[in-house]
Amino acid sequence: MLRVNGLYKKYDDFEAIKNVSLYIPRGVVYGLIGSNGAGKTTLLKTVTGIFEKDRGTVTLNEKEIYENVEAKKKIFFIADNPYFYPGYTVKDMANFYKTVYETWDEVKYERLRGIFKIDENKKVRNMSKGMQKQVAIWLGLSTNTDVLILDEPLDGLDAVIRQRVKKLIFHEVIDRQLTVLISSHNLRELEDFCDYVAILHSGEVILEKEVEKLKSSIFKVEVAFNDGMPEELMKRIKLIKAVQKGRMWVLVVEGERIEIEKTIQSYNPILFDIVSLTLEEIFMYEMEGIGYEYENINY
Amino acid sequence: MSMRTSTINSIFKNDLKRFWVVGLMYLILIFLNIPLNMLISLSKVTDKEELIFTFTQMFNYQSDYFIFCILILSILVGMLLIREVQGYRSNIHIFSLPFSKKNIFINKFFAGFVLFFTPIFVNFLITEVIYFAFGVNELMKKSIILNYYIMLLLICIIFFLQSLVIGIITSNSLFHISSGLLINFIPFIFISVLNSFLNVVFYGLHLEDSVTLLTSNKSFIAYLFPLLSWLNSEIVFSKAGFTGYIYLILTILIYFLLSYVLFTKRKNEKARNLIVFDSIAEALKYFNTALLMFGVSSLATMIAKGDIFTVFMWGLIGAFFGYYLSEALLKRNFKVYRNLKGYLIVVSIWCIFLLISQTEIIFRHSPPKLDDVESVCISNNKKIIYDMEYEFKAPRFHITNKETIKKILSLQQHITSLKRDYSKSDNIYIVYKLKNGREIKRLYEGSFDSKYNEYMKLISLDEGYKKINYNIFNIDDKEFDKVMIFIKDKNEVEINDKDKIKFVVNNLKRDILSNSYQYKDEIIFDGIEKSKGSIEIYYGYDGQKYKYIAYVIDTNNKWIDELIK
Repeated sequence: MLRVNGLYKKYDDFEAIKNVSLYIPRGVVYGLIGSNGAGKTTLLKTVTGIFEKDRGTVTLNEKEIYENVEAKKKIFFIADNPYFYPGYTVKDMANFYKTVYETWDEVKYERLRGIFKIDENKKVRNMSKGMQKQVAIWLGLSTNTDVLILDEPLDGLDAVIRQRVKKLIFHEVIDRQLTVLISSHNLRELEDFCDYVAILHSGEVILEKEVEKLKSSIFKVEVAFNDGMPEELMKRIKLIKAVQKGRMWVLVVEGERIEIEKTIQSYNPILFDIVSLTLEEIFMYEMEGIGYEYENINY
Repeated sequence: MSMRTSTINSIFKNDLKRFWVVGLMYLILIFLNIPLNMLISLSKVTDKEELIFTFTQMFNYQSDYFIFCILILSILVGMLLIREVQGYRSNIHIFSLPFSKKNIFINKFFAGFVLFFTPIFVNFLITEVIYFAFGVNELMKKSIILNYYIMLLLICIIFFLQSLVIGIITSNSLFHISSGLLINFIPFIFISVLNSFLNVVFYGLHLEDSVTLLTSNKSFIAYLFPLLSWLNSEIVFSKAGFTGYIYLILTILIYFLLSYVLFTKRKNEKARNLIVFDSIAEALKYFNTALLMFGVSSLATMIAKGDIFTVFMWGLIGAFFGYYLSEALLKRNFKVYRNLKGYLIVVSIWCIFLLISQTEIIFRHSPPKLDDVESVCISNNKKIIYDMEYEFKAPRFHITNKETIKKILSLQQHITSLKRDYSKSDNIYIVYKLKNGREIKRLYEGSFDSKYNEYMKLISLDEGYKKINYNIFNIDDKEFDKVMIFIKDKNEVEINDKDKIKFVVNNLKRDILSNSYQYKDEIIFDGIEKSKGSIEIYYGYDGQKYKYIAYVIDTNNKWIDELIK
């Protein structure tokens, strides 16, 4: 579907994107996490075809996106600070997009009007930032494009609206296989929402994982033995991290939950507990494993 | 269908929807200038001749107010349309939409075109109705109206495209509007500054009157930057010939292609920069540096009556301000002291140039050697100088007398040794024709001393000098058509007889050469109060008017009395 291969983008002497490769299958929500200045916005704008790449390829269904009208017809981009024409109401903007996107869905627009409960005859520029973002999402979803690219869409929205937006996007993904590329500087925000997550740091993707696989394959184990930690056990499990607290060991282990339980129980621990990790914890450990301090990357 | 959707799309419609008011402003402005003006004239003026004159003036010469309003509206159209590409957020928005750059540009251009074509066309139709309904067809040709509106449309397109080009280059509206107003003056400002700088550095360098040439309707530059020529009425609407139209269309093509190329090459990520293109930003920086360097150094030298050291010092100061201000504006930061590498390069070139300029390598400051000179042409009259340059193209008579040439060489040596004051109260033009075929032209302007007058008195006795400085010698005898003689307290006498004309011309020439003619060419010296009358000799009839030369009549003159007896 959407493929980025060896993408490279430079601003004068500053390398904003360095050799980034991503593959986003149809009908998934792909989260792009990174701190401010990590290169998220540049990557999204290059993917959308707003910025010209210096090297690499950005394709939608194997076709280059930049200056390709047919490819761009399938993409709608919502910027972190969306633009609306001065003096235009929601209705005016909708009428404009109606002529731009052949896929515009009037029924959906009307349905979403009931959900967002925003007066369509009100000038968008007079609305609050949060409301403007809702209008952008409302209009973006109404264009009914195959791909929706959102730059920090949840920023500035209150918790209720945030959940509503997530739910709406989620329904689109389920109903019509919408592909979503979404950026955020906060992993927690996307935890329950994304199928894939990539972490961008200094213009490079340092980690890319499928969320469900990740969640079901890494666990935190608290264990204690009478005679200390058996050396053999350490070799039998796929250990990511091990910290000793007195007699108790806290282990981060990768593998099938049943297999891990079975292996540890066979050494008769006096204390044993296994819990699933939050996505943030998983990423923290994974990144430490490849030599990054998570605190330096996440805000 | 696919053609329609791929060329004219929602951007075009959206722009028209947003900016139709500017089109209305155009409509009102042109209506006030032509149709309403015609109606007022028709209701007020009853005399046919006066009406013909009023309408001719109306369609040929536009008020400065109207010209500036058209310019401002055209800049405004360009500005409003391109603003969407200039602003960072709107830029991201428009380029995220499914349009190619080419498509966006074409739509923007056509939206602008419609905004001024529609009002011009509507006004044309109103004017046509007035033309036929109120009997204007008996006063003037219909083609004048069509010609006027076509020219107006072409000039509006040029101003609009100029605005588009600037708008694509910059992201700043203030820069856009100020440059839109300035762009038409820039070539003339630069040429004027460069001329005065060259005059300061190369004392005596004779430059063509390039500014006048640039604004003349014969020059392509006048069409490329049409504002000044239009203000000077050099571009007269009803008289625009084939060449004029070709120049206008060529200008439109150049601006269109330039704006198209710039638009498609524009990098959206640079939409926040004052100048979006790095290479243009660099070029502008050095252009400003050069302009201020030349301007400040020549102005300061003229005011301070300084020498080459003054030029050098003030050049450094001017260049610093030009470079620093450009750099600060481009970087939007006044702390740009670390970026002055370019300034040092400019300074190095400046030093080398000034050093070379004072040698004889690129400009000969000293007079040539007597043995190298074949002949000389000299005049201290601006009219004669102008005629030699533009009317007769080259001096037809030269001084060949060795003694006179020696005096001219000494005169030049003397003038260059004087302290310069740039007041331009005196001027002397010298053209040396060398034996090797080369020519050396020198024009000195300043305030000269009594020794200069002594030299000139001696030089002016030379026969060659007289032939140069009296136009009667520079016109073919066959061209003279008529002589008018005005004697005080007597009726004027007109002579059309060819033999009599020849008699007058020959006698005048003889008097001038034999020094029996007391007064000089009237244009040269004002001696009219001491004379008993004047002679005007007409020549060069072009179907509408004559050119003429005039001489005062010496009080002792006898042959004129004989002639008119």
